[in-house]
Amino acid sequence: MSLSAYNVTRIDAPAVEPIRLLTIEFDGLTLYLCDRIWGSGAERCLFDDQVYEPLILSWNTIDHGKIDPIDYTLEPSGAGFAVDNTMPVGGAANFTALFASHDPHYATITVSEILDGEQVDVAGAAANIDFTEYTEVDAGGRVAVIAGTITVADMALGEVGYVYKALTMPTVFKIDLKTSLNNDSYLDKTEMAVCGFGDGIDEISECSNGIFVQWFHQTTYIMAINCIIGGNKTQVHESGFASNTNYYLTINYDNTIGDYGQLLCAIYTDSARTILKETLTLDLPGLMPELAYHYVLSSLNSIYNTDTNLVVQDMEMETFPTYKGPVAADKIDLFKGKIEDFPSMATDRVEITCSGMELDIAHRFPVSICNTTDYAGADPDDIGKMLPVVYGQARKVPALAVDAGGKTTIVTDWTDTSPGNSGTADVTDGAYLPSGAFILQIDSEQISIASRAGNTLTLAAADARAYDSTTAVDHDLGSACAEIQTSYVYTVAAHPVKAIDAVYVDNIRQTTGFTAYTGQTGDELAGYEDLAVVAFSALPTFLKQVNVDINNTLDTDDAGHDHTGSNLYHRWNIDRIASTSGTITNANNIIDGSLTTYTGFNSHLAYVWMNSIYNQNPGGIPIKIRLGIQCHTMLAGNTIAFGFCGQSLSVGGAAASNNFYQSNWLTLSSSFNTWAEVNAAYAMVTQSLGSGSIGVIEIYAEFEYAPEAHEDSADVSLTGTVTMSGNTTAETVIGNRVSADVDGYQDDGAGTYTGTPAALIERPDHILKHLLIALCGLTSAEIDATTYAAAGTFYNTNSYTLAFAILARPNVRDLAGRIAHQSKSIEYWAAGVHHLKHIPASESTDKTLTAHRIDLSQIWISYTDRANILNALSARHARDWSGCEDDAEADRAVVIADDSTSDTKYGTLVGEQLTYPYIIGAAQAQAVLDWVIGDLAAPRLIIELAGGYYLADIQRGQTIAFVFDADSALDKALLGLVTSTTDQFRVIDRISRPDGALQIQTIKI
Amino acid sequence: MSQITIYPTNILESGTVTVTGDPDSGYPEARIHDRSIDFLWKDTVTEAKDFHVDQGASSLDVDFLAVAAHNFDGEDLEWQHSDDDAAWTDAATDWTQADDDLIIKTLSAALTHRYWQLTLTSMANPQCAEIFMGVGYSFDVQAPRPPSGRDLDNVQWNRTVGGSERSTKFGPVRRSRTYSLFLSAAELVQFDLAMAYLDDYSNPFFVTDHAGDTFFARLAGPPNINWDHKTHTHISLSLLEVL
Repeated sequence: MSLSAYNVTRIDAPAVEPIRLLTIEFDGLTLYLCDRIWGSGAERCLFDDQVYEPLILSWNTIDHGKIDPIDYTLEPSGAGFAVDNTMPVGGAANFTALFASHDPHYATITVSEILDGEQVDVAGAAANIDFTEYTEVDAGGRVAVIAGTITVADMALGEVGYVYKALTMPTVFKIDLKTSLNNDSYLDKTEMAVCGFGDGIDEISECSNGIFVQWFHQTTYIMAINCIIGGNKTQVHESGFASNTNYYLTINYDNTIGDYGQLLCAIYTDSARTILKETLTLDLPGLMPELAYHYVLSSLNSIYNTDTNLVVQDMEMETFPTYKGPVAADKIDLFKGKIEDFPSMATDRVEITCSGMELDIAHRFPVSICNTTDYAGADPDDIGKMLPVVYGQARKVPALAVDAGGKTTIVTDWTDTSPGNSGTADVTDGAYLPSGAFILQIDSEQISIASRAGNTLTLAAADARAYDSTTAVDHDLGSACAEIQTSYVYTVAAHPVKAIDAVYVDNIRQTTGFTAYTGQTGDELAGYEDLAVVAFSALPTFLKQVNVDINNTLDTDDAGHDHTGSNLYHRWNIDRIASTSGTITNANNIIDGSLTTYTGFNSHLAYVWMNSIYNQNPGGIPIKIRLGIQCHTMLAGNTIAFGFCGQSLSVGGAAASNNFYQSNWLTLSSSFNTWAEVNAAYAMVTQSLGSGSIGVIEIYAEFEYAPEAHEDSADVSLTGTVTMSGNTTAETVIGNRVSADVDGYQDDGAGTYTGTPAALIERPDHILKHLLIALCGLTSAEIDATTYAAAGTFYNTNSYTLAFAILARPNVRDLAGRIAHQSKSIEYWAAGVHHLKHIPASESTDKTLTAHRIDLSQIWISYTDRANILNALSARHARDWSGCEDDAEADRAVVIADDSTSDTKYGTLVGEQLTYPYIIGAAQAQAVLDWVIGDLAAPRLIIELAGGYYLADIQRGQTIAFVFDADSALDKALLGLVTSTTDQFRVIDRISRPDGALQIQTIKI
Repeated sequence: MSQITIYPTNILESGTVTVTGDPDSGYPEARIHDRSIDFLWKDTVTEAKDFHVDQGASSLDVDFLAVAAHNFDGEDLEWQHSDDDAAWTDAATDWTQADDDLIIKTLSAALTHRYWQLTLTSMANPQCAEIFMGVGYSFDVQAPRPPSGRDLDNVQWNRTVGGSERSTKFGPVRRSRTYSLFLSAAELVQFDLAMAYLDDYSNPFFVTDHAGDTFFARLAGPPNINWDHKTHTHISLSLLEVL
């Protein structure tokens, strides 16, 4: 926290006069209270144009929120106070009487502090200026000075004249004067200042900084006001004045107007100043330094003076009270929160405790729930779940089936004719099905339904059964019946996302059969606006249409004698990379089914080791195998070998590109003549010769197998069935788990959060800012720009990003803590403003404390517990949010860290494995883990101390050091455990005590 | 022999008070006679203000006016009384207030009138904390046990490890005074009358101390009485300034 210059001056003094202010913002009423009176008259208890009423009887300690030295979690802030309940306030008879019309629990409490609210007047009454008290510089003898009049007579070309004295320009003043100019030669122009202030002694126009009012004449008479700041002059002027005519000027200067102050000159034609001729106004463009000299006359640019005759008379200056007390920017906010409890309410006083805004913010995360009102066709398994919220490049974000097709069961046996047209039939739970007309499928028959009422279906009046060329058959009680849809919709994120990079069904990446919508304008699915969704197109009948062509269970009717069929072929699905060795890039691409990506081999004997995740068994007996390689590039002198099930295909030698190689059919050995043996086999692709670059797009394996013997029939009919799994149609047609690689929130068109329009929000500070402002409703003022900017620079330098999916309602406090921690940072709230403090590799000391800044007997020293020592840690990171196998979620990488010094001293102390699921990069994960183990590897010194307002600008997260001489009082107070200047301590807690002392707790870095 | 004067009564409390216009919400008229100079009456309407008191049938004497915590600097004021609420007589010479300090006006003799008013010329955002019109009870101060007093600070001092000291000021100083009175029977009656107005010593009041300074005060404790004289009574009176 940076203190204003006013506050710095105040706290540097040994005597400080704090005044606590309390604002209670009820709905429609704000109370401004304070703990004592100050000021007098119109300024009594007045601060920032607001009267504060001294109703606060006492304060409790203000806890700013301690950062845990072990796990970096943040305690909430809290405050308490007692209010006088005997005085009328806020239009009510007393404080508690307000509660009848204003809910106190709605109120927002802000506790602030100002230092010495007293106004100090540095005023002077209006006074006539005696020109004889000024110094005259007039080499040409053209200037005549008497007490109330300065006369310039016939000043000639090249002559210099000015009249000045040392007088610091007041911050607010008014000067009246009378002046006239005659320059009748008209041959050349003349310029002359009649009043001003400058920072040097010269013609006032030669000062580096100054303000002045001037005459100007060439062909017409002009008056101008000027300011010079750093040598740069700004001027405002008006023409139309007369020669040899008295004008009455009122010059006002006020440094509190506008950004840097304002100079205003009203020009009247009468002495009573009632006839206004012109007003010149100049808003200063920059900060005006102190001006030490007052000029009542000055030539400006002597080369222009020709036949100049000028009079300045009756100059009177009035300075005004200058407010020396604190202004709005000097208010130090200590706490912002909500009323939590009333420990005591009595007729004379009300005691109130408050919790910080962060507790309120904790529950402000907006959640979109998958419900049947918004998503009538949602998968029952997904109802009640939160639609995911995604930041960064998150992998395999689980999608919710929001239009999955209803499914239930029939409760009676159906024949192939009954129910028939317009007939009715009951189902177990009709709520899962549409109420209007739709197509129902039971087993392989489709039925046209006219409507549904409750659990009763009414079939269409005509052609209800055997709809769409299917065959009417009997259906047993309990048979599944489901709604036929043309598409199934899955919600990937509850908001528009930057991109959807890949879609998975049951963890198998899909390349066709769906359309992904980011939800951004122009890329929305109708009915799912502002949502990121994946829509799978569906076949007109139930088939397992994703991943496997048709995983059917075809039976043959037993219609006669045995018959042996022809051999069949099965393409083997290799879908798992077991391991790699050597220089391999993008190993997965060799089995990703894409002809646009490839795996790179770039070292001799580099290999990829693969197998199949799922059991494959097309039936019969495998006989032969044929291998294929689709190459992308092949440098001369290199070969690639593909081996599987005892057979191999080796290709290469000559340079080639985009060649497809295929082996002959090779007979399988007895080691691979069952599907079980084939399923157990691993495939390997090896760079068998050379170390040049080889790109392999895909590898293939195809088996020839003898189908099982079956009975012959003149008319062999196949009756296909698809097992309807799950409780929605989509689970049968699409799969159980749909997930997607998602680039989450993107910035708005103005780049509000990242500085770049439409950029992916993935840097930790950007994520936090977006989370707190866009989602939780904070204002930008409630984000500390200074610490965020510093952290952002650190993240940029170290390429820190995060990627995660929020799948359940988070506690925002905890979420912010996780984001900060996994970004090697700590976060905290100060008076309702969120701060983010990164932990650099090398700390610099923010503030040093000497013995004169710490109160006597107010130092308490301890260590962190030995039980917290850990010197061997590991942390998983890079999460697949829907898991890579059957886990609900899985982290794909791990980093480890150990501290050998600690290990030697305390023995190996292994901590539970940590998880940094938001981190993708190993370097970032390692940096965070190194930070953690560095803090846990040994007991650390904790120093708590109290002092005066000199500690006011120390914030949690900052580092301090103690400066003292050996054997000094402070050295002894610190028990000799601290090295002066060198030892650094991080501030982890801050307390504002009722006795005006500030207490901080620090831990050694 | 110096005197102290206690002003225990305020006719604004016993009478009916009306003030021109409507006060700002949260700054009611009652605050000008609540014996607290901490809480303001305010009105943002720029208009002349008349603080009017009707004492009703039984009127108390008045020889004292105090206006505390106001912003009437530069404004013209009139303090008047009337018996019919129509014809008004100046109680004090009209004046232009020269500052925002405590306004004190005293009369040479107490007056008894039903109606009193303080008028203020039109100004922007007038405010004041207390208007006090009452009568003073003066008592001679004994010399043998001279008046004593001191200022009570509201400062906390802390010593640092290094031995320097720092202070935290929590409020302005308050004056305290201790007087020894030696009252005749008649004076004791007056004293008891004055004390009776303090509602069992709970009300603060204005006091003019032996040096002529007038300030708002309360009893630091009930008066200590010694009946050690045949015709007079010794009373020890301790006063503490109220902020």
